[in-house]
Amino acid sequence: MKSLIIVFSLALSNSVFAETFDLPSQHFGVIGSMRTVQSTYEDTLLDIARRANIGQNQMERVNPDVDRWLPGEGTLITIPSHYVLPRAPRKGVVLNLPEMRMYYFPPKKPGQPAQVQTYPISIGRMDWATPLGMTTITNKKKDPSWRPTESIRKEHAEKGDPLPRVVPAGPNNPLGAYAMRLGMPTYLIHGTNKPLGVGMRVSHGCIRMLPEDIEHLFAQLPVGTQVNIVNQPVKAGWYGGKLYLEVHPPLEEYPNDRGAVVEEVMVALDDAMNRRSAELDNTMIDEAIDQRNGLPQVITRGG
Amino acid sequence: METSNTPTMAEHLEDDIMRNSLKTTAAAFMLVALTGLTGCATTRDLDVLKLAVEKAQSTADAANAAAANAQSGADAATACCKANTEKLDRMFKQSMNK
Repeated sequence: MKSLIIVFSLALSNSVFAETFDLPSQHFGVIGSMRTVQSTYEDTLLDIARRANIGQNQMERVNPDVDRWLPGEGTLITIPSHYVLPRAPRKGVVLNLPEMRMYYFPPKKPGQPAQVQTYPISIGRMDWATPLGMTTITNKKKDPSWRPTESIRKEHAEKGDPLPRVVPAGPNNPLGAYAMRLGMPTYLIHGTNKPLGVGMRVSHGCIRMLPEDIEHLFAQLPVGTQVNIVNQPVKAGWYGGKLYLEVHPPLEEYPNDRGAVVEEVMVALDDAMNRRSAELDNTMIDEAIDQRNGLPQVITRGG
Repeated sequence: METSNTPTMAEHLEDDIMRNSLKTTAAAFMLVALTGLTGCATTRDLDVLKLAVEKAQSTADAANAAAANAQSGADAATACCKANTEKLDRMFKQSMNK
C-alpha cells in the first residue's frame, strides 16, 4: 500500500502542467496564489521549478537564499504561482516577454466559466531578441525538423560546433516534438530538448516551452489563433478590493534604472485606477519597485 | 655539691623558645622575599616582569596573526565558492542555448 502511494505521488508530481484558472471579470486581473513546498534530498531548484510550472529565472529570483543546485532536504521553497494578467485583450495567446510567461485564453465553453491557462516560456537572448507585436499562428507541425538560419549556423560554426542544414526530428532536435509557426518570419513557438532552460533568455528569438506544456497547448490552438507579444515589466490588477502591483526586471535591452521602472509603474497604475479609485500605499509601491521580484504585492491601504 | 652538664627543664624550654623564634623569623623573611612584599621592586624584578609582558604580547600578536590568516583563508574560500557557483550558473545557461 505504501509503495502504491509513493508511485501515485510521483506520477502526480510529474503530471503537473498548464496551470488553469477561472478567468476573473474584466474588472479584476489577478489569478493564482503563492504557495510553498519542501524540497527533498534529491531535488534541485530546477526540478522543483519544472514540476511547479515556473520559469527558472523567476524561481531563482523569489528564492534568493536557496542554493539552485543543492536546496537540501526540507528547505521551504516559494512557488510564485500568483499572477497579474497583462494589459491586453483576453483573446488567444498573450506572451509577456519580461516575465517570460504565456497566457492563453481558450474560447469559452457553453455552461462553463471562462478560463485562462499560463505557462513559463523561454525567449530570445539579447542579441536575438524576440519581436513584439500582434501576429497569428500560421502553421503547426508535429515532430518538426529544424532548419537553422544562416546566422545561427554561422554562430555555431564560430564556436566550433557546426550545424547541419537540417536537424531531423528526434532527441537532438532543439524544437522538441511540436512547433507552431508564427506570422513573423522564422519565429516559432516550439518544444525543447533542454527543458531545464525554460524561463530563461536562451533562444534565438523563438518561444520555447516545456515538452509537456507544448503538447497540451498544441492540441488546443488552431491555425489562425491570435498571438500578442507584449513588453510589460510592470502589471497592476485588482482582486478582492485590493490593487496588486507586479514588477519584473526590464529586459536588458531596455532602460533598467529606477526612473524607467517608475514610468512603467505609472502606466500600469493609470490603467488599473481607471477601473476604480483607491488610496495607494507609496511605501509598498517603492518596495515593489526596489525588489522587482515579479511577485504581486498589495499596494492599497487598509482592508 | 654535685654538678652536672645535663640541662635543666627550664634551660630546655628556653632553648626551644629561642629556636622556634629563629625559625619564625626566617620563615617570615622567606615569605616576604617570595611574595615581594618588601615595598620596593628591584631592577631585576622589573626586568622579569617586562620579559613576561613581552612574551604575553608576542603570544597575543601570534594569535592575532593566526586569526587574520584564518579570516583571509575563509574570505578566499567564500570568494572561490561564489565564483564556482557563478561559473556553474554560466555553464548551465550556455548549455541551455539552442
